[in-house]
Amino acid sequence: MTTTAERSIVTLERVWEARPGVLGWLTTVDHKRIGLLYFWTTLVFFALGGTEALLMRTQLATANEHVISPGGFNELLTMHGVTMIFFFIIPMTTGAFGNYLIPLMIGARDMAFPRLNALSYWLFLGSGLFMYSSFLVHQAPNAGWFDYVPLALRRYDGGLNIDFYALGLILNGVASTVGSINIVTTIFKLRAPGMSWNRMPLFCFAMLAAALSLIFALPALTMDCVFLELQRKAGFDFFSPPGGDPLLWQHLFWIFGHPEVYIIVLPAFGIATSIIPTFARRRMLAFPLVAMAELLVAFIGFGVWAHHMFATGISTTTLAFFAAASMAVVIPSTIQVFAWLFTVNLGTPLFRTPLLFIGGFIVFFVLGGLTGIMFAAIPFDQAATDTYFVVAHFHFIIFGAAVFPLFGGIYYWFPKVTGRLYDEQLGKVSFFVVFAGTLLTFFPMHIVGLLGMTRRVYTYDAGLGWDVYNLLETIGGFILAAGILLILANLVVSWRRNVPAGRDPFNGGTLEWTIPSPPPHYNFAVVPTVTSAYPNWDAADRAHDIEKLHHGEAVLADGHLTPTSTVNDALAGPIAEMPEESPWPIVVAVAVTAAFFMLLTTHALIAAAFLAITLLAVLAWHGDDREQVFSTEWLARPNGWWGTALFVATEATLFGTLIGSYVYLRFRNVHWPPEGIAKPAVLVPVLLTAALVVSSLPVQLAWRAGRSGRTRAAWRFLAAGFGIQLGYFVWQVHDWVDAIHDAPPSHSTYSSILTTMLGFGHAHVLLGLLIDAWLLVQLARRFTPYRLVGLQSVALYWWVVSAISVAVLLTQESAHL
Amino acid sequence: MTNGKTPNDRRRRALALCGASVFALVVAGCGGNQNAVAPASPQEHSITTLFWVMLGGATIGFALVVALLWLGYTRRARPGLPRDVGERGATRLVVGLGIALPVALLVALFVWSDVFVITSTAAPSKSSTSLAVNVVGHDWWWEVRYPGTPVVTANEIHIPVRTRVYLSGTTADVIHSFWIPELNRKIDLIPGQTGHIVLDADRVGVFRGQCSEFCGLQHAHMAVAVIVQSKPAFRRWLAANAAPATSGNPSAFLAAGCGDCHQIRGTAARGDVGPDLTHLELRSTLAALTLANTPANLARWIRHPQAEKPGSRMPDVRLGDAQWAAIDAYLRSLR
Amino acid sequence: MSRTRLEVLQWYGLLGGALAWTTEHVLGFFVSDGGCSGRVAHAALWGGVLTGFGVLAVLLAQGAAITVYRATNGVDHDAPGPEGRLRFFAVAALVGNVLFFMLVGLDGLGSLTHLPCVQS
Repeated sequence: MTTTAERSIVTLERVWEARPGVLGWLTTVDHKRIGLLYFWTTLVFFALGGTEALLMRTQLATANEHVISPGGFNELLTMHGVTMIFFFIIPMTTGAFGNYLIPLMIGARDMAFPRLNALSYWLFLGSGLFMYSSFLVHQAPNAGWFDYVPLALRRYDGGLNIDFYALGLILNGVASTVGSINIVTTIFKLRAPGMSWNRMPLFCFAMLAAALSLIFALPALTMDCVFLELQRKAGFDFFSPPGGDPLLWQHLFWIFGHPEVYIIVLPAFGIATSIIPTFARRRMLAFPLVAMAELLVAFIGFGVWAHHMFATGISTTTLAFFAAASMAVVIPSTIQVFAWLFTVNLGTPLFRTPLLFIGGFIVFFVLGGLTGIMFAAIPFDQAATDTYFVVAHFHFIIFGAAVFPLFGGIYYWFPKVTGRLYDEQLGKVSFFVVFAGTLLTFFPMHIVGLLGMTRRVYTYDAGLGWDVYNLLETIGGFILAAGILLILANLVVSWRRNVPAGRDPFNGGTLEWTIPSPPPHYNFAVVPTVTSAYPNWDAADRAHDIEKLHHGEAVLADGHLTPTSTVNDALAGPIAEMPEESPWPIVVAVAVTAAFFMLLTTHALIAAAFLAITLLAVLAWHGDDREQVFSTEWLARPNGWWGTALFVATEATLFGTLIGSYVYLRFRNVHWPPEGIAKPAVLVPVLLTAALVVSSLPVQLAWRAGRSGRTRAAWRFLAAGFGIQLGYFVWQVHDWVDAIHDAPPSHSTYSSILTTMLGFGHAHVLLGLLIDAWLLVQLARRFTPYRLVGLQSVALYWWVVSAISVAVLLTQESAHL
Repeated sequence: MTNGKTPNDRRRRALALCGASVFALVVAGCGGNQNAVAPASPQEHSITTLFWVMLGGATIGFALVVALLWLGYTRRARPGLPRDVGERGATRLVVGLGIALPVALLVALFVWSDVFVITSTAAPSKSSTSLAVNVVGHDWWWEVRYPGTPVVTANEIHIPVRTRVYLSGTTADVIHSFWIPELNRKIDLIPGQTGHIVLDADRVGVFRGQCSEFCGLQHAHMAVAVIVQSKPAFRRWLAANAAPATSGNPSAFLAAGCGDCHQIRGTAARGDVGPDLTHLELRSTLAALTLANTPANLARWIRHPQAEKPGSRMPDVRLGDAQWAAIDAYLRSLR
Repeated sequence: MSRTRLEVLQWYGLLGGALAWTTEHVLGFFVSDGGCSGRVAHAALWGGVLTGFGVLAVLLAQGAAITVYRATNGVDHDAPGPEGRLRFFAVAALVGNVLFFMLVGLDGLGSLTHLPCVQS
C-alpha cells in the first residue's frame, strides 16, 4: 500500500519537475513561482514608493523647507501614488497572494491559463520598468496619479512625463486584465469537485470580486489614457472646451478609480477572513452574508464615481445619485466588520502576530471608514475634499486597511511558502511599531486638514498652525518605515534560523494547510475531497484523501493534469491538461514593452514592427497541440471558452466607455455634428453591419459542424464567415479613412470621438479576422479538440463583436436625432 | 535649490512677514485662520454643524468596535459572548448592527445633508445677493474683478460684512479650486464653465484660503485672502481702487517690458498675463500671499522672482540698479 | 417547485436587484446630465419613471429571493450544491436586495427633491 503512494509521489515529482536555474524562472508557468516573482518585484516597488513618501515627508517636516524642488516634489507625489496602487498593492494582492494561494485553496494544480499567468507577470514587470525609466530621462509623471486635464495636456506639460504615465498605465492595465481573467476562470473552473459556491473559501470570493472589478473597471482607465494620448500626440480633441470637456477625464478616471479602492481592499478582506477563523478557532460567523458583502462592495463601488467630483459644480440632482451610492456602499463593510468582531468573540482567539495585524486592520479600517461616511455628506465633502483630511482618510484605508492584512498575511502564510516558522516575539514587536507609526503618521493629517492644509503642496507657510502636526507625521513616517524593516528582518532571520513549520502550524481551515510546506510543484498528490467551507477541519475527508493516495486513486500522474468542475456546483468535470514551461510569454512581454517605448517616442513604424513580432510569438505560443478538455454542456464549457467570454466582456466594457463618452460629449455640444461636417451615412453602414451580424451565423455553424465531427463542413463554414467579415472590414476601413480625410479628428470633438469609436470597432474586427485566418490554417492541417475550443471561442467572439458593432452603429446614427 | 538661501533665511522671512503688521493680513499669515471648523458665515456654520454631529456618531461607532475587540481579547479563553449569546444571537447582532442600524442612520444622514444642508452650500440664486465678484484662477495667482466697476485687483478680495456676495469663478488655464475654509465650501474653477458660491461673512476680518486643486509647480503658493470690511470701509476701498492710476512716470516700467504682462490703467501697460498693478500699493501682499508687500520684499520679488517662487510665470528680468530705482519709485506711487 | 424554476428564481433574486439599480443609476445619470443641457426633455419625469421601475424590479427580486429561501428551508448553507448553493445565494440575495432598495430609493429621493440643474 505504501509503495503505491510512494510510487505516485515519485511519478508526480518527475512529471511536475521545474527546469533548473534562471532559465527555469524565466520560462516558468508554475503559479507558485510566478506568485513569488510577483511578491519580490512588488516588494521592490513598495520600497520605491515608500522612499518617495519619506522624501516628501522630509520636505514637509517643517514650514518652507528646501529639501526637494517643487518640480521634484510633484514627480514624487505622482509616482508615490502610481507606484503604491498600480505597482504594489494590486500586483501584490492579485499577483502574489492570488496567484500563490487561489489554486492551493481550491484544490487545483495550477491556474487555468498558466502561460497567460506568466505573460501577466512579465507585462507587469515591463510596465513597471517602463514607468520608472522616466526617472532616467528626468521626465517622471508629474500631474498627480489622478492626472487631471488640462494640466496633463501638452500645453501645460510638454515633456514625455504624461506620456510615460498614460502608456505605462495602459500596459499595466493589460497585465492586470490578463491576470484577472485568469483568476476568474480558475475560480470558475478549477475548484475541487464538491466545492460548490457555498463552500468556497471567503478569500477566493474576495479575489473573485476584485478580479471581476478589475476586468470591468480597467477599460475606463485605458480608454481615458487612449483619449489623452490621442489628444497629446495626434491632436484629437476630447478635453478642451468648447467642444470637449475636462470633466470627461475625471468621470472616466473615477469610473475606474472608485472601484479601484475596493479592488485594493477586497483582497485584504479576504486575508482577514482567512486569518480570523484560524486564530479564533471557529468558522466565520454569517458566512453567506460575508461572501455577499464582498461581492456587493465590488459591485456598488462602480456606482460611486462622481463622489470624487462633488466640488466641480455638477448639478445637485446629478450628485444625489453618487451621494446615495456612497452611503449604501458602507453597508457591506459594516456587515463584515461585525461578522469579524463576533467571530473573534465567539471563538477562543489566539492573539498571535497575524491576528494582531488583523486587529490593527479592523481599528484602522473602521477609522478610515467612518471618515469615509463623512464624505458622502456632500456639503462636508465640498469643504474637506482636497485637504489633508482626505489624505488621512484614504491612507487609513489603503495603508491601514489594505496593507495591514498584507503584513498579517505574509506572517500567516510564511510557514506555508517557506516551510519555516517566523519569530513570534519579533513579529509582535513589529506589529506594535508599525501600528504606532501608522497612527502617528496619518492621524494628525485629520487635524491639519481641518485647519485648512490643502493636498499636494510641496511646502507651506509657518504660522498657520500646521507645523507641529507635520513634524509629528514625518516622525511617524520614519517609525513606520522602521517597523516595516523589522518585518522584513523577521522574515530574513526566520528563513535562516530554519525552524521547520510542518504542514499546518496554525490548524488553518482551508485546503492549503492539507499539503506539505513548502508545497510540492504539483500541489496536491490526490484530488482533495471537499464537503464544507473548511475542508482541513473535516478529519474524515482528510483520512479519505490519504486512503485515495494509498490506493493510487485520483492521483492524475500521467502528465500535467488537473481536474475541472462545473461552475456552480463543482460537479466533477473532465481532466484538463496543463501546459509546461514556455519561453513565449516573456518574449511576447518584451516585444510589447518595446512597442510601448516606440509609441512613447512616436516611432509608429518601429512600434508596428514590434507588434508584428508579438503576433509571431503568439503564433509560436499556440503551436503546440494539447488535448484540451472539451464539453458541450453549458456550465462545463472549457477554460478557453470562459477566458474568451471574460475577454469579450472587458472589451464590451471598453465600448460601453466609448459610447458613454460619445453621449456625454454630445450633451455638451449644441451642433452635433458641428457645422460643415456632414451627418453620417445611413444605408452603407446599416447594410455592412447587418452583413457582419449575419456572418456570425456561419462561424457558429462551423463550431456545430466541428463538434459533430464534420471537419470539412466546419472549415467551409468558417471560410464563408471569414469572407463576409473581410469584405465588411475592407469596405468599412475604406470609408473610415475617407471620413478622416474629410473631417480630420483634430478639427472637432465630434470627429475625434467618432473616429476613435469606429477605429476601435474596426480593430476588433481585424483581431477576429486574424484568429479566423489562423484557425483556417490550423484546421486545414489537423483537427483536434484543442482547435474545437478555438472554434467555440471564436464563435462567441463574433457574436459579441456583432453586438458591439450594432451598438456602435446606433451611436453613430444617433447624430441624426 | 539655485537661490542658495538656507531654510533659516526663509523662516526668518516668514516671521518677518508675520511681524509686518501692515494690514490685518498679519492674522492671515500667523493666526491660522484657514480653519474649516471655525465658521464665520451661515453656510460654514451649517457645514461645521454637520461635521460635529457626524464626528459624534463616528466616535460612538468607533468606541463600539474597539470595545468589541477588547471584549474578544479579555474573554479569549472562553468561547461565546457574555450572557450565553451563541451563534444565532451573534448572527442577529451582525444583522442588527451591520445592516439595520447603519441603513437607518445613513438614510437619515443622506436626507439631512444631501437634501437639506446642501441647499445652503449650493450655488445661490443671483437675485438673493447684492454684490457680485468675479474671480479668475491663473497659474499661480487670483484675478479679482468687480463687475460694473473698473476695479481689477489680485489675490485680495474685499467684501462688505453681512452682505450676500455672488462669487463667480473661472480659470484662465488649468483647473484651480477656490476655497475660503471659514466662509464656505470650495468650488472648482474648470475650463469651459463658471462656478458660483455665496460669500456671506458674519464678521469683519481676514480669511485666508488656498488653491485646492493641484495646478502644477506653484500650487503651494497660490493663496488668496478675503478681507471682510464694514460697509463704509468697503465703499471707500472700492472707490479708491476705481480711481485712475497715479500720474507717475511709467517709462522705466515700460522700457523693462513689464507692460507686456501687466496692466496699469491709463498707461501703455496693457498685458493680461500677470496681475493688474493699477493700485499695487493698496494691496498688502505679493505673489499670491507669498510675501508681505514691503519695499524690501517688492525688490526681492521683482528682481528675483524665480528664487522666491520657482516656476512662476514672472521671469527673472535683469535690471540695473538705476533702472530698478526708477521702477521701484513708480510702483510705490501706485496707491 | 421545479428545479429549473428555483434556479431561475435564485439567479434573478441574486442579480435582478443589481441589474435594476445599474439601469436606474446609469440612465438616471445621463437623464439628469442631459436634462441640464436641454438634450433630454422632461428629465424629472424620466427620473420618476426610472425610480419606479427600479423600486419595482428590486421588490420582485426580493420576492424571488424570499421564495427560494422558503423553498430551501432546513437546508444548511454548507450542504452540497445545488441545494446548499440555492440556500446560500438566497440568504445572500436577501441582504443584497435590501441594499439595492436603499440605493434605488435614495437615488430617486435625491434626484427628485432637488430643483433640476442647480449647480451644487
